[in-house]
Amino acid sequence: MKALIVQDLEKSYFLQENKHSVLNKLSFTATLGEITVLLGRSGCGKTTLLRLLSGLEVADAGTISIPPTKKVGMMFQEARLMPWLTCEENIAFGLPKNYDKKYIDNLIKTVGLEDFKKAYPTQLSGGMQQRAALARTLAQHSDIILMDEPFAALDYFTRLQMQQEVLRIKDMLGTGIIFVTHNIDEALAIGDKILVMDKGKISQEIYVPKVSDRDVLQEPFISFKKQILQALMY
Amino acid sequence: MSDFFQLNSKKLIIFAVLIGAWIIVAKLQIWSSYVLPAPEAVWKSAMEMLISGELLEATLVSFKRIFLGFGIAFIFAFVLGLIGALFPKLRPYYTAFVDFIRHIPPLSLIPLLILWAGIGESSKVIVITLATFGPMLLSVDAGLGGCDKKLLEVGKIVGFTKQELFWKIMLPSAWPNIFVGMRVGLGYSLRAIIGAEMVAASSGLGYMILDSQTMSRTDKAIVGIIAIGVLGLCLDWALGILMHKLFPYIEKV
Repeated sequence: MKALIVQDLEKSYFLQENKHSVLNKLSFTATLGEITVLLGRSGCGKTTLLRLLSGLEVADAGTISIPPTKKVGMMFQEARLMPWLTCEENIAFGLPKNYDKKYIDNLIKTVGLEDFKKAYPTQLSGGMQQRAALARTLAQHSDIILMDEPFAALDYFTRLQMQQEVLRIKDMLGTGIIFVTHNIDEALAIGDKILVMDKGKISQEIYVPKVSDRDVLQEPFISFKKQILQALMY
Repeated sequence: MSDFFQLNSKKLIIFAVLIGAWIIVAKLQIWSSYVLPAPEAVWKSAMEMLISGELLEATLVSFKRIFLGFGIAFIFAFVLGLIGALFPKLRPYYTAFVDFIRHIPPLSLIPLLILWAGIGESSKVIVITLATFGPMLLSVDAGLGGCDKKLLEVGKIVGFTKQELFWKIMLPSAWPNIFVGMRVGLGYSLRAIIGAEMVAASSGLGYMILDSQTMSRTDKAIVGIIAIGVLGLCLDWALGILMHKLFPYIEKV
């Protein structure tokens, strides 16, 4: 089921009266139950695109269609936890007062923070903060989750673990995930569809075959990697 | 945090050194006991003043004025800060005036205040209110205006209304700043009240110090000065404890 259709999106910024075009007639679709990866070099407009999708910013032209019943959540590059709330309170942030405590408890267990429920963000490591942010995003019961390089600041191993977590959640909940990254291996590890972004446009679309055990060191992933590198190296 | 409150030996060393130097200088009788009374004499007067209730009464009178003036100033600063944060379009209408008022030393208003409000309690309370309002408004403004935009975006994503953004993100993130402003304001209010009491009052610590000078009782004046310092320390300490209780996530401010 199509979760999101983007058509001819345009966005530019003015910097000292010079117009900088960030998105240039960009179109793509994303599907529920799939991870759509937006891959590109820094400054190619990935973050701007996510901000438009989340409604934090408004496009100059073009359309974004999301079914009105679908809820959009977002996970940022930084954890952005409220410093005055405990880990647990942060995860339940923005939920109505009578929220399902059991569900939150399960989420906390899922992200492995059950021993840190009462800790404040400053007492958590960067990886833990990011896991709390993931749990907070999931607690919102979003149908579509936008992720803006959420694991960029994590170490290699935590990063792998979090990627597996995202895959598991997608399979379990059927969430549509739009995942922004500049890391080709990460894109290959989790993406069902990889959209290579360049100069404010989608320059390549790669459909990753469904395999039970992904090994990015094997074919066809090696060919995909070459293809992406060729598209982005100049 | 605990480091701030513990009256540990390191913090007492400086007092011991000062008192030691004082004892030696007094023993050497370089100056007359009128100019520099010996610590024993000051201690004796302090005890007398404590027993007679004179010291406590003067301290309580000053404290009451501070409490009232500071409280009124806080309410004004807080409300005006809120208005500025909720309706930024209104800010230009009052900021210049507030800056103007903020730079007038409140003591310079005393002649007028005596004329308008008499030498009773109200003129003193007004002086404190004026002295503390400015710095507290600045910190309320800084706290509410300096809210991290990134946290506000989290609120927008979870679908907060404008009101929810304010109560659940802006205000909680501003409290630590507001408290720092309160501590600064407290220092201002002590300075202002002693000044005001020296110029126009018949009670309070400031009056007591000036009265001691008139009566050539330097020892009593020193007791008054020490009482002010102790009062300030206690108030700041109480505010610090309150802050720690309310905002346990702040390591140190």
